[in-house]
Amino acid sequence: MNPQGTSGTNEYSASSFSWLGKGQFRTTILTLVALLAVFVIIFPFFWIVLCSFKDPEQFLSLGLKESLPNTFNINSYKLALERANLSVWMLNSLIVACATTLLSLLVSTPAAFALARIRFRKKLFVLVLLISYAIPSILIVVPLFVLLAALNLSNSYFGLILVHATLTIPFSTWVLQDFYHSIPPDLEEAAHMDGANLYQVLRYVILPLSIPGVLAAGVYSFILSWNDFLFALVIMNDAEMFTAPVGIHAYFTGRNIVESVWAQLMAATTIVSLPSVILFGFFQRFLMSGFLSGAVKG
Amino acid sequence: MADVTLQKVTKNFSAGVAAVKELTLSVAHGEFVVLLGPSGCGKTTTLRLIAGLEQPDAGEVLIDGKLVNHLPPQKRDLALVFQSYALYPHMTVAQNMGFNLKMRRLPSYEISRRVRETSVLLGLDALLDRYPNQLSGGQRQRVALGRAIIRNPVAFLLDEPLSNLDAQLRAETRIELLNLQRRLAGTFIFVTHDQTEAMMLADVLVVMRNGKIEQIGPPEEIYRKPANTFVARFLGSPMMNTLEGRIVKDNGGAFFHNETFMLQLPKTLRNIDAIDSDTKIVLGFRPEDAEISPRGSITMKVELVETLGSQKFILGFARQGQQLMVSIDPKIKPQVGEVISISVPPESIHLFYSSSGLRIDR
Repeated sequence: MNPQGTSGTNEYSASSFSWLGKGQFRTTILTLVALLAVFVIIFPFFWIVLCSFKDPEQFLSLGLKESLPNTFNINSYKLALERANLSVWMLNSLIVACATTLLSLLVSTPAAFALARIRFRKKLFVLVLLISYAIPSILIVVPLFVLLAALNLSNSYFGLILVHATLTIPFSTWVLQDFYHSIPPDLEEAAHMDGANLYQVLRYVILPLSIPGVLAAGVYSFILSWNDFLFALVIMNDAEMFTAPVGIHAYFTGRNIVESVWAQLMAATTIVSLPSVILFGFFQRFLMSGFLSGAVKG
Repeated sequence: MADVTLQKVTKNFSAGVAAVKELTLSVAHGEFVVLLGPSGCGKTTTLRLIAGLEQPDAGEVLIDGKLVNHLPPQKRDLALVFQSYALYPHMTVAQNMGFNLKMRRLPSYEISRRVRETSVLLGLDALLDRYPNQLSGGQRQRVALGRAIIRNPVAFLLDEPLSNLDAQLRAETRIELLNLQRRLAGTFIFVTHDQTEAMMLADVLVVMRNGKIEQIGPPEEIYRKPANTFVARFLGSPMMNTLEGRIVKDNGGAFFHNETFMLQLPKTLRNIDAIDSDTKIVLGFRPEDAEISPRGSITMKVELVETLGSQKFILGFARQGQQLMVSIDPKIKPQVGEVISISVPPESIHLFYSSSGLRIDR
């Protein structure tokens, strides 16, 4: 061994980040990548909110100075709420999203429990569950529309709720069954020994323990339904039945694009996005534990 | 309290692998029965079959003479204490203990009264509002016991309830458990792989292996008269010494003979006459039954001396390479490498058939 030679080699092979430890360097790179990803995702939304407060007259100006808002103008919000039928569309969205969440949880909670606990040949079932989630939505728009038309359910809340539920149930079931797996089976058996039947085990033991999972599945269902544009556009035909994303689209694409309309569009989009953002922010802790339950269990 | 009977019960978990094979066991009212055996011997499965958490593939489970094969666990009125305690993490100690009574739709004042009574009995009265994650291991274990006691079940089933406690707490809890069983005069079926625990607690000990019962009886009797080599080696710490050899008959006397020594067998030994000379047998003796003696017929070379306070053990090898362990007076100080002679009193000798492992003197 030549201690001098060894030290010399280290000296020359040291990277330009030698002031950072190996772990620190890795953390720094990962943080930068994460920040970049967050920027790419957040920036459009940030820009929408920023532009909604801009002076409508300066909306499309190209100068860098003018493109940043210099006034806090809430006129666009007033106009969006007065002129567009935003409140009706938001109410429609609320009805559809709440009902979808409820239906999705009603089906996925017991289904996931069965998948997690009851002994049966479930491999095929799980495969179908995963495949159904992997199919791109756009592929099933037309068949679903034809089906709904045949059932006389197009242009109805119920039709859209059913369609949204077909999208949310597989995912919710998957999240919840992973969550149930993290609850020790001993607890259910203890409840049975304590005299509880299957319904009581679910009601008193499993459900209270799976609240984070149920919330995660519920919030996911709500946000997916609230944000859906494609299915709502195809299924809802009357302006009175539009959900918020479809309403905004129909209202603003139906008129001349002038500067003032752009700012209103941004304001309307901000208003419509708020429930999702608030909901996510409020339940973020549950969502993370719900989605990660399967990943972190021993 | 009730009798629990298993009649030829079999449970298969996967094709061809039976966890419990044609097991027949009768637990009398008020008895403390301990199922003892190594991991995978079927003791927990047996307990779960009684509890109704597993369904037998064949045979009958009877409680107080009534067939309960078709009854789900919640209708058998048995209490089970789990190895993990299985306390409901979202309920307080009081709610955990009262859950069974709530399921039986008892009025809330009655539930509170019984929770209070049981918590005083177990010293849990100051902890009733705590959640399981705010309790120590010993406290959790007592809550699990309390949950079982409060409902006054027909029998208590306990699945290694002491295995998560440290040694001192385990010893204390064993005594508490015995006192509790006497006070309640309850039927207790207790599963463990810890033979000390089993020996101390059991009225009746059931030693199991590979889904079958190897021997049933009072612990002292099983210790003194193990039915086969498995039970002989499994029960007792350190385990029984066993030496392979043959039986030799000469002038009406019977001798154990192997390559290095010959030992006269007591004439009083039952069934010895029925054995042909030259039959392969196994001789066994417990470490504490042997003593160092210049006239001893078994010689061993000392490899290791273990001092455990009041006891001292020497580990060594007999001439043909078989490992032997002998308990000696702590005052004696044998040297490693020294060759010593040991003798075993005839009444302390155990003999087994080499082929079947069964005890000759049954």
